[in-house]
Amino acid sequence: MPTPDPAPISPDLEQDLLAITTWQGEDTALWKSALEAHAATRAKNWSRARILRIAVTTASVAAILLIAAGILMPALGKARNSSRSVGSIAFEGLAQAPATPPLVDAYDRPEPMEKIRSDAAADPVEASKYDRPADSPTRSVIRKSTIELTVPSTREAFAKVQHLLRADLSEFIESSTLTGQDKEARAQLTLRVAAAGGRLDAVLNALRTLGKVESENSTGDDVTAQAVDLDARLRNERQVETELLRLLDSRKDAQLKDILDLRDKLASVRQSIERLQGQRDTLARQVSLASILVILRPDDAPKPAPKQDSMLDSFTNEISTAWTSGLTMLTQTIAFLVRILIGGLVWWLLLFAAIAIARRSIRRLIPDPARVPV
Amino acid sequence: LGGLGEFERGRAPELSDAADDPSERGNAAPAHPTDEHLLAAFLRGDAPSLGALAQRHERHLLGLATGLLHGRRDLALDAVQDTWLRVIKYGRSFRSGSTVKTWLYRILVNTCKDVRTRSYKLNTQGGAGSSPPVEHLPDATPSPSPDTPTQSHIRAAIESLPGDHRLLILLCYHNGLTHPQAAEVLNIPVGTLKSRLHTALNLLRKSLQDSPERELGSNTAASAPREQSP
Repeated sequence: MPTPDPAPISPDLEQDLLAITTWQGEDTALWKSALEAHAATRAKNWSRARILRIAVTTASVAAILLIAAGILMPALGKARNSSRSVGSIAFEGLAQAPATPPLVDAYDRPEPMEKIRSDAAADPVEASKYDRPADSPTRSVIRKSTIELTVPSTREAFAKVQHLLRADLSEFIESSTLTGQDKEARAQLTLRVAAAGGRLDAVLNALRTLGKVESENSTGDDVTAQAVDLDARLRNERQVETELLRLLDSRKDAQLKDILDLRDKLASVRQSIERLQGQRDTLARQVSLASILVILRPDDAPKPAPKQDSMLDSFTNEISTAWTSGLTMLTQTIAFLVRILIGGLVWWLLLFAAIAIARRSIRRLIPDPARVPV
Repeated sequence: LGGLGEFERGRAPELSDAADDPSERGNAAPAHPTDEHLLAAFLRGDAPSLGALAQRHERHLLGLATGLLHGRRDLALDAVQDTWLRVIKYGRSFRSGSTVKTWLYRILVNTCKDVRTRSYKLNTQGGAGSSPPVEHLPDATPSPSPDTPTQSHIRAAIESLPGDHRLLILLCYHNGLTHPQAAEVLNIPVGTLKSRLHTALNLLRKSLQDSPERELGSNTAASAPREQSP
């Protein structure tokens, strides 16, 4: 429905309205003045824009350098740490030498640090021994090996393995099992052999000659720090014990209650020494005697048939696996997002601030002169 | 609009001797260029095109600005010059959704609003009652044909109207614009414009009737608002 025209007004009023919105007077050329004013303003703003451009460029370069430094610094720090750790291993090899001689007997004959250092300095062979970082004999490593062999005769091999050990080196069989007959015979032995003097390698080599090696695995657990810690605590407790004994001797005329308290304390310290000593002995045994798990089976034994899953089992397994991996992925994704969100909080704030400033600047730079009048 | 010109690359067109004579421009210009052609030519670096555009519209713009600024010719001159300055600065923001003419009027209306706001601020900063409003100060460039008493009376009545009604009446009864063009300036449908104009005229009649000097209304020889450009 068309909108009706507004009520008409009188011609006189219309003429008057026209008159008050009509320019009375000479022609003007305001556009020329506007062009001149624009040129003048542009010239004035030119230097300001140049300064602004230089400032923005400088700030951008500084930001890039900061970001680059932020990326590079952790890498440098990591590199520094790794080089330090390599150096420190070498140093610790020297520094901890008195504390970590072969554990079987070392802690019973502690040597002063100075003596060890002077010996090492005087004897190049000794020094090179301490310089070796990882596999140095001064380090305490619990060695474990597993070897799986297929042999012509399980029983025969089982007997041969037992004869590989040397009683004079305190080597022994920790456990052994032999099951089945003939082609079904299976044997498993846990040997404890001396770790030092290349005995471990010798025994492993001997085992390899018994049959065909199906698999072999060796691990080494470095317990040097644990041993050093135990030594230190032990030394400390012994020192306390000595001081308490000295105190007890010097205060023989003290009150009975005080003497009893002192004895209680002494008993507690001795108990602690015994406990630490026990831990140290265990650790020393673990270090001095390596473990070898030997698995023997006949070489013509039928291989175990793969388990045949039903379709339902397979489907359930697949769903279960998919669910687990989905959950893992979800967790990792959330963790990743949290890491980015929290870790980069400063950068996010800077970015948002930069965007806000840029938007405001752009809006200020390019206003809409023809916005709708309201 | 055409591609990037000298202006768009950052250099304002220079004034030349040929600036006043659009006929001396290059052969590429059409014989009767539209406003859009002229603006495009100006943005390409042809300063006289702006002169040609101004020749078409400057007087009308000045007339409307005078009406919007309470008859102050000096303020109107400032407002129109400022309008051209904005055209020069922000010509690239013109979009083909409207005509250059209505775009110019829209800029002018905004500029006049800014001038009024500025004058209001100047007045309030000087202290309450310390000086009269800028619009009421003597005109630095008095009109060669001053207002008749009736015109002054109508001007005062229009001034008493709310801002949007005042703008509506002045736009619709201005010699340079038709109602559809006025609607385009205000970015409203023509029907809405007419209904608002009806309300605005009623308010104006009431304002004038309160005064005994002028009889107005829809009695004899009434004329309807214009639909076509004069």
